[in-house]
Amino acid sequence: MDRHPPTGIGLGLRSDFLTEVVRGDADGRVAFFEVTPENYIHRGGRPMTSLAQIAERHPILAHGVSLSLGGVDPFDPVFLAALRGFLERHPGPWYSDHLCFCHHGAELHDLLPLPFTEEGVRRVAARIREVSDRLATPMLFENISYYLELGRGEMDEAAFIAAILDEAECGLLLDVNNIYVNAENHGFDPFAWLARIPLDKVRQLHIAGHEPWDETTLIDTHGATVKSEVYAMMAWVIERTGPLPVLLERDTNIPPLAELLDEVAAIDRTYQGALARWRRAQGPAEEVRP
Amino acid sequence: MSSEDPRSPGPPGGIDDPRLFDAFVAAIREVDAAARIQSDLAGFYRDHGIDGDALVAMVERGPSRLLMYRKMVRGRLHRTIREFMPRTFARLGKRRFDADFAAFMAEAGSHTVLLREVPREFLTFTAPRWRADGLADYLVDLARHEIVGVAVRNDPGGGEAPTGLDLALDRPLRFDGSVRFQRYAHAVHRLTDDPEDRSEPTAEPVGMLVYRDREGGRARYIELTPRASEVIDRLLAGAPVEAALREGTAAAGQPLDDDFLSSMVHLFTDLVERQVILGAIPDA
Repeated sequence: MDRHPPTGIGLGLRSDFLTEVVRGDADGRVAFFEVTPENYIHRGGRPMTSLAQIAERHPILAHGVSLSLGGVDPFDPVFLAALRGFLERHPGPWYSDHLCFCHHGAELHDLLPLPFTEEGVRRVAARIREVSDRLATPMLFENISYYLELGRGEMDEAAFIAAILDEAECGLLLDVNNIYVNAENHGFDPFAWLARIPLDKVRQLHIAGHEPWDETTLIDTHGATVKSEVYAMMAWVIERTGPLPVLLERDTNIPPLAELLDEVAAIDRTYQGALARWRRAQGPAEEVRP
Repeated sequence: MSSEDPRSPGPPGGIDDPRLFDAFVAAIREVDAAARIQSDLAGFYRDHGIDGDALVAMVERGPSRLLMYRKMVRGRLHRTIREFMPRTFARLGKRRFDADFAAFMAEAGSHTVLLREVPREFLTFTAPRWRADGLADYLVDLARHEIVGVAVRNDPGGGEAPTGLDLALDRPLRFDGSVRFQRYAHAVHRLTDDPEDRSEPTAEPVGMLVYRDREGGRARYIELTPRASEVIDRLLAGAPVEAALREGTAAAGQPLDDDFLSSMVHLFTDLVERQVILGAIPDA
């Protein structure tokens, strides 16, 4: 694909339905696919063939899980080289990863929380700028679901994110389900949180389902259909930003592709409604003269 | 630590001190951390260098979500290893597997960003423990056999073009990039796929050529005789055909006779048809 971002509702590409997508079952029903490069680097065989075939027919956005943007360990140069190679083969408008750490002496293979501090802002912003240079691509970072804050924060998550966006010269991949999960788990108003985020920096949205971990904690499993409250948050953002790529994530309890495509269509109906409200708010369209 | 060290801490008890990360990761990796966190959360944090306001804040938040992270991270890795080697897991038993997994997390941990590589890391760590503890000799072979299929299916190599040169005695051969040659001391490949099966494999040397087929992308397994194993092993190491035949048969303690030569011609022909052998390697 070229470096112009797609807009509309996309789907996270998973091995469970690669064959169906290659067969064309999703043609015309998704705006794009999002892929996790870690699933494709240092790899050959059928998944790579399938990805190449899919990339010929659909826009691809790349979204990683391993950069450890918030960590304190140096970046792994071997991994960065492999990642850069992947992005050269599948160029897109940006590369995204999470506002978290996942490596600290060892790989933890999960998205782990950060202290919300001034020092953290400087460190993360510097690392985002570094990795953007080393990958030769613009970067987005994604807000995570965090279940425990580290240390005594000097600010809250929304201020932390806004400060990094200001300092790192990057964009935001806004995961509205993560905001909802955090709001429930930590007791804040998700819309008030959203109102504090510089929406002009938002380049992409993620939307997903969550499940209860126990009686007091929700967990971002990507293992259920998207809840109505999360639809509402997506619509709130789109009404204010206009068209963006919105990605449906599903990583566990993955249903047949047909069901996921139905959910994509349902999300699209809400998205289109929000987009219509955004267009009305822009005022009457000016006549365009040839 | 020097000031150049990217992990050098800020002021003692500082708010973005790497010791916060150290403590958090220790809560996930250390063998006995869960019990300590439950019984003495402040002591756990203090033992990992957390003090001052950071300690107060972390203790205020309680143990449950720290333990949630421990369970999530360990659960994902435990499940991944189990799924890659289900029969080894079943024969090892949950108690022993859990102990090995706990030791792996605490003493080694994962050092790859690729989740599919974690089972191999685990086996590298735990195979010496299994041998030292006198567990069934064949378990390491079985685990290697279970994970080699995944490695071959995903190998970045494979699918290369034929060299265009016929096989010749004085030249080495080019193999498909996905090929692995495995030696086992037990015939683990003849065990059934049933995780409930507890029959024991026979103790016998096995040479196994594993490759990825080009049509379906599946791992295919070819059992070789001891003599053919020695030859193929040498060919994969880059020996010319004639040298591989001579040295391989000598290593097997068997003659390089007409019957064996005939069987090797059949094997080479078969491997060429399967596109495992891609031809002779041309001169540089």
